[in-house]
Amino acid sequence: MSSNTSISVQGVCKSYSLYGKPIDRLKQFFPFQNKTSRKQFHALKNINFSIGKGEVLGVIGRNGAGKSTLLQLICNTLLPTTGSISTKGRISALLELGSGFNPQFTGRENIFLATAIQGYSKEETLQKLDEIIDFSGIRKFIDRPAKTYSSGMYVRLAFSVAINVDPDILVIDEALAVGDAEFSRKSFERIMQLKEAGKTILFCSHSLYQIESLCDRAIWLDEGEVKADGIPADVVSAYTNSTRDEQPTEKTTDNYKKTDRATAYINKVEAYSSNTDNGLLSIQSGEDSLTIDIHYYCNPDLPTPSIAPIITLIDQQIITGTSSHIDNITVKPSSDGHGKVSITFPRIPLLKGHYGIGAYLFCEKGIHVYDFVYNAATVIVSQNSLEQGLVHLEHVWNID
Amino acid sequence: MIKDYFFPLSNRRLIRQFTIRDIRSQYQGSIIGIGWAFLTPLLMLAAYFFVFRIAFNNRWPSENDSNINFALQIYTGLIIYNLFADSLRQAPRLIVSNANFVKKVVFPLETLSWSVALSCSFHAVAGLFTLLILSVASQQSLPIALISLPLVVGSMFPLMLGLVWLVSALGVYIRDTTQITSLIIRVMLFLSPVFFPVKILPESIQPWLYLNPIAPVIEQTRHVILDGQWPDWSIVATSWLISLVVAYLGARWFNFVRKGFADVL
Repeated sequence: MSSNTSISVQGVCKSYSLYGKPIDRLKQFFPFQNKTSRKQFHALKNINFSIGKGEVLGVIGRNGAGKSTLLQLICNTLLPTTGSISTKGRISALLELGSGFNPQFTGRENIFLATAIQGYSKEETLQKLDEIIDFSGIRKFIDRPAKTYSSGMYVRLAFSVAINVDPDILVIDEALAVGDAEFSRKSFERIMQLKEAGKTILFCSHSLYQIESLCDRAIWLDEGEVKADGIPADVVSAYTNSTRDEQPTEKTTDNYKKTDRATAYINKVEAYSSNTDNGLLSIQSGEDSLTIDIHYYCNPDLPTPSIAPIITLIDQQIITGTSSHIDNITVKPSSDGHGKVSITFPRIPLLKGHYGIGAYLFCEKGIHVYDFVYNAATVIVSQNSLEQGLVHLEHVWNID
Repeated sequence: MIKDYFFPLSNRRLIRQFTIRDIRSQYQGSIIGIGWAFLTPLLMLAAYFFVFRIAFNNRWPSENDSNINFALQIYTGLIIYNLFADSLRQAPRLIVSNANFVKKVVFPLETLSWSVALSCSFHAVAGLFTLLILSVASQQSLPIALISLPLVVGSMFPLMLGLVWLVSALGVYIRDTTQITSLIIRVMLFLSPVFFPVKILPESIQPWLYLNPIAPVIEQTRHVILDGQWPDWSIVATSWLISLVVAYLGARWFNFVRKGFADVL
């Protein structure tokens, strides 16, 4: 393992034997047991990769592809059946919501428990204690038993511990979507800080957008094998292409399988201004128009979806968002389910600043969210007047 | 590897935290609080005293057959027996109920056994403390032999560690362990010299009772506290030897089968 490698995974396989009873597992320890054929389930097959120090790696794949198993192996909670894994530095893991917690303990005690498990001394924890409590935002309840916490509070505390203990390696399993918008924004910021501080981060997520925006590299796992490994944009598009390719064949198979797969998603969100120049999307406030193209896929068996473009602040607060449902527009995907809508905002009334473009894909009633994307493009608005704020409102002065 | 089981220096914080938590949680919110640690054994003693001394009119075969001596003889037996029973009672579900620590985080599972043994020891120390006060008060003397008490009772500690490792690991694979253990605990109350001294048994049976590892500890503790005599060092040494062997085997067993915990929990 070279000095720059932080995690090295070599020839790792993990298979689970499906035991009828726990005692069968015990018998397996003893050589005189006649080897009856057990059912084997191969969660991971010959996985090889290494992660350099300071790299941010995203793992994507369908449910059951082996993502969580891989992360658990790296955190050493599971042992590989064959192969070896070596890691360098302290690992802070958030594998499941509040997994290292004891519900009987108070929040404060749980902080000490979780950090002690990770091998931090009491002094180190005391130094970080205020930071952890403040970050979690549950100071009022910190001396109450964790079992009295709402699930949101529980997760926030767990997350706060995991990312504030100054780990060398941070492993996160689909936990980024925790808490309210405010908390998840804070979490992202903290993770970006860790990334800038040169920490190795490994996480898996179903939010492909997160993978693309956060990671330097992505790995696509499919049925226990590495299907692709490389630049996130390439890996993500290969992955989305594969889910798309499989869609038509699914029509013929049974209905249950369909729910496993992405039924509708946003492919691409693009923004143009009437004033196009050199790729950067700069717009003159009150003069140029802004056009947002949203490419989407919706399983043809589903009712026609509705689509909502949004304009946000960089921290994801929505400034405006309308939808085809609100405006009584019916979108028309082609027969294979793909489609594109385009919306134009003439003489954009936004004032100077950076804004994010995003989109939501809803069901036909505008209730269930299939997919969403934030900050797919950034527009830079400049203005000539000194008007203050985010947006120009039509106004009339009255002077008596 | 096994060394970490016996000298868990790097995990001492965890062990301390779990132990304190365990003790505190037993009394949290109760009015008498930690007083229960002293009150419970005394109340149990009163009940046994009533049954064996008043109802059955038993006698204790020693020159001092006062009521207080009889009560203290039983009390000594109970303290040692409870140390054994309390730790064993928690063992079968120890790992099962902490499945999170097996599957979700890297946790030194062997330390759970330490916490159990330590929190049970806390109660035993509280009991011994009460016993000493009562004994010194009733005998009006403070024998020098009392300083050997930690050595005499101390042999219980590795025994408990080993048993908890043994039983907790077994409990993961065989769920009947809970039932079997609770049966053993109940039977052991009567197969240990708690309500009687070993010497009232027929000569032919006496050696058999010493197959019970806590029997010599009970006898020697009585010898030190109630008779004010030095213990029989060869018996104390044998107890330590047996305890350490049990602890070693327990640790080896635990370490051997723990690899499969995550597969069945």
